[in-house]
Amino acid sequence: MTTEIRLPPLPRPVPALTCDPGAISSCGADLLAASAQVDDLGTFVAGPARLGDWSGDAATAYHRAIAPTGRRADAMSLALRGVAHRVEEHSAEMQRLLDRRAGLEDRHQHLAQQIAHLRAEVATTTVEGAAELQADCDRVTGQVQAYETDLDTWASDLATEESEMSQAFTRVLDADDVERLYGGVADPADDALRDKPAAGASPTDVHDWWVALTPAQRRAVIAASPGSIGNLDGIPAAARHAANTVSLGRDLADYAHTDAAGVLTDDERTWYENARAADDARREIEGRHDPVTGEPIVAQVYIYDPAAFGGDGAVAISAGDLDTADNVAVVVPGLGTDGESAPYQADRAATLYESTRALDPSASNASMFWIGYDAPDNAPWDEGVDGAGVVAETMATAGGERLADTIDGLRASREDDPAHLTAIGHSYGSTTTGHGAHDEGLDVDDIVFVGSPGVGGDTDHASDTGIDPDHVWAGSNSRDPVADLGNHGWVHGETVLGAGLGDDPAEDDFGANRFQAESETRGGLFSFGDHSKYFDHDTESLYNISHIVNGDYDAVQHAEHIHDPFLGGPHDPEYDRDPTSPATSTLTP
Amino acid sequence: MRVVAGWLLVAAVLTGCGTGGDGVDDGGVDGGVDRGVDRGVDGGAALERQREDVRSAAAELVTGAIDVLGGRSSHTGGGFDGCESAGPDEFRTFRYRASGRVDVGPGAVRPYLDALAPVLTSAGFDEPVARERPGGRSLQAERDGVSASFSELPGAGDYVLVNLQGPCVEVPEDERDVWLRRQDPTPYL
Repeated sequence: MTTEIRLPPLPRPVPALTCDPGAISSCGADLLAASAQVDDLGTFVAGPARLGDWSGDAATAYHRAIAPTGRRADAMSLALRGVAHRVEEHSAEMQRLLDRRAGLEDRHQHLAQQIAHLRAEVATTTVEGAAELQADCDRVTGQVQAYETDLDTWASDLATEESEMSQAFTRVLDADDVERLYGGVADPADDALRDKPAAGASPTDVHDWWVALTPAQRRAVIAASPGSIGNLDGIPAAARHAANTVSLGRDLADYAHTDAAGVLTDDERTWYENARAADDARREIEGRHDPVTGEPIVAQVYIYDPAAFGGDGAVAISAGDLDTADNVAVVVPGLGTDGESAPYQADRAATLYESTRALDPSASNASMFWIGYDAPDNAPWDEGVDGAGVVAETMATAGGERLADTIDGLRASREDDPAHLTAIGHSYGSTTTGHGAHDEGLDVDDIVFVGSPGVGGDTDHASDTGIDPDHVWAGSNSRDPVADLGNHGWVHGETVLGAGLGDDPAEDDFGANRFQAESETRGGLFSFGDHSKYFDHDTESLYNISHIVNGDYDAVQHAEHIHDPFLGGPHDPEYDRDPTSPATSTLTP
Repeated sequence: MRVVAGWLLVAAVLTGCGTGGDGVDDGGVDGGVDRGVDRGVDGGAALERQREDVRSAAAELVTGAIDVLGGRSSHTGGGFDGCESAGPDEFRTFRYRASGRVDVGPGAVRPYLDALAPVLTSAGFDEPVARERPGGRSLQAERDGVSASFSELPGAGDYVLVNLQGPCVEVPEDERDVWLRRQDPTPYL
């Protein structure tokens, strides 16, 4: 007697889908930058291009002639912005469709395996086992039907999405369409900006204004007036990043065009270099991968002003999401730093991010390099007097104030979900950080000074920073000649006639925690190279800084302090210790 | 005294010079250990070769992992990283690193690393060594100076990570900025 078994049908394979959501998103960003450029034209025509002290027939003709240009520019800007936002949505939707497709592929593979198994079972089953086998086949048949339904839904959703994206483009294909849809339409950014807190408002007030806006208003402000919020403390990092990305894209396009036309001024060339450095820095971070998820590291452009500080430029970019990270580190670089330092500083920030994540995969992190102040960056006989600032505290004092503003901004945008926040000052940046703490009451949980030439003349003890001395840390490589510049001993004569940068935070009198920061590649006596190794992978310094940033204080390797006896010079016990190379990357043996 | 020292610092660092002869060197090489640094004549060419080696090995390992664990790959990229800093805004040495992720297939069984040692050895890597890492374990091996690892972090998800990097290579001073800013956005797989 034979028994007929009804096998499940073979499921259809998932159609191929070749798509790069990252490239789509990049296209959206370019369109948004173009929208900002056109918006600038509209603003120019409505503002500076109008000559109020010019009258007569010629003036009337002129103003009549430019008015349509401004109106067309405003309409075109809104049209481009609408398409740009739709492209951004398309990028997100295509990513979701790719993810759904991956799930369908898994199901297809699994079903195919089950059916192959059932087919083999049919060949060997007995009459007694037929009913049970048929039940298995029916169960899988149900799964195939559910899969086929989901596959149809996916294909339909894909077709709908592609159609809607196409329509977003075609509805504004020519100037008449743009005029019909957007001519005379008020920009939603206008109302929003009218209520914006005045200059000097607190980050909390700024944050309250921002969260009260509708999503459409926020998107409009980012597109139409990125400069008004990109560097504004109290605005969440994601919004600042979106605005600064628009500004950066617009600047790169503008400067490239002007350069190609041969009319770039010297100042503009400097700003162009700073913009390119910021772009390279962002890409450096985005090109690295999270050591826990393997996904690209999120970059956020928190400050972007290529013309700041007389052309030195201001830029701060984070590796990791500043709005959500459990642990946030702000790295303040020092001597020799300006806007063109961004790619190097980005490498450091990404390395610190990798290290903190690798050492504690359970926490999320963000590490931001902060070139938000005018650091001593050039020789006085070369480009000006910046370099002379390294022997005095003027630039550190001003920088400390700016640093405190940035920290206040980070705090204000996360009042309900505060991060564990660490300020890390390197070189002259430690003097700046010291001033921020002493003068401005830096609102951080931990302070780290590395390679410090002194933390400011008024900071004689860790407690003068306003932070619990248990949370004030110092890393000092015994071969680092800059770290040896800080004042030693109990006489605080470090700021004679305004020169000198304050006490050495690694000394016992100072009262900070000193951590191990020697390098296996350290020099013989003094080495300038050792002043720059504190953030290199697999160094004692990076290992210990990472544990501090993660709040994992028990794992920090403490070092004996420098001691300066009444007679004789300072003694550094670390000088004779053999350095180690603790693992901070995933590939360290 | 500090004023003098500060000005010496300005002069030395801002002009990019070590002072020499006063107990101060500028790179930390002569007086210290210079572990694992390739100091070949043409650092740039060595880095280009390293890029090809690392990317081809990475593709081989990712493909091999999929062969034994099923699933699919993602985030298969790489780039040049600075190894050792040499002064403000500058690395003395660079290397190429690549990474990737394999989300394993439905039939894969933990620990995934148990199936991956043969993937490393069949790709010509030394016998792999198992190591603990925070949150999980890794298998590490070397081939001609290229380090490779598979990592499994059970609390993170059903995937393995693939990481590779070459040895640090010294590049001439006038090429350091070029390598620092070099981008490599094309996936290797």
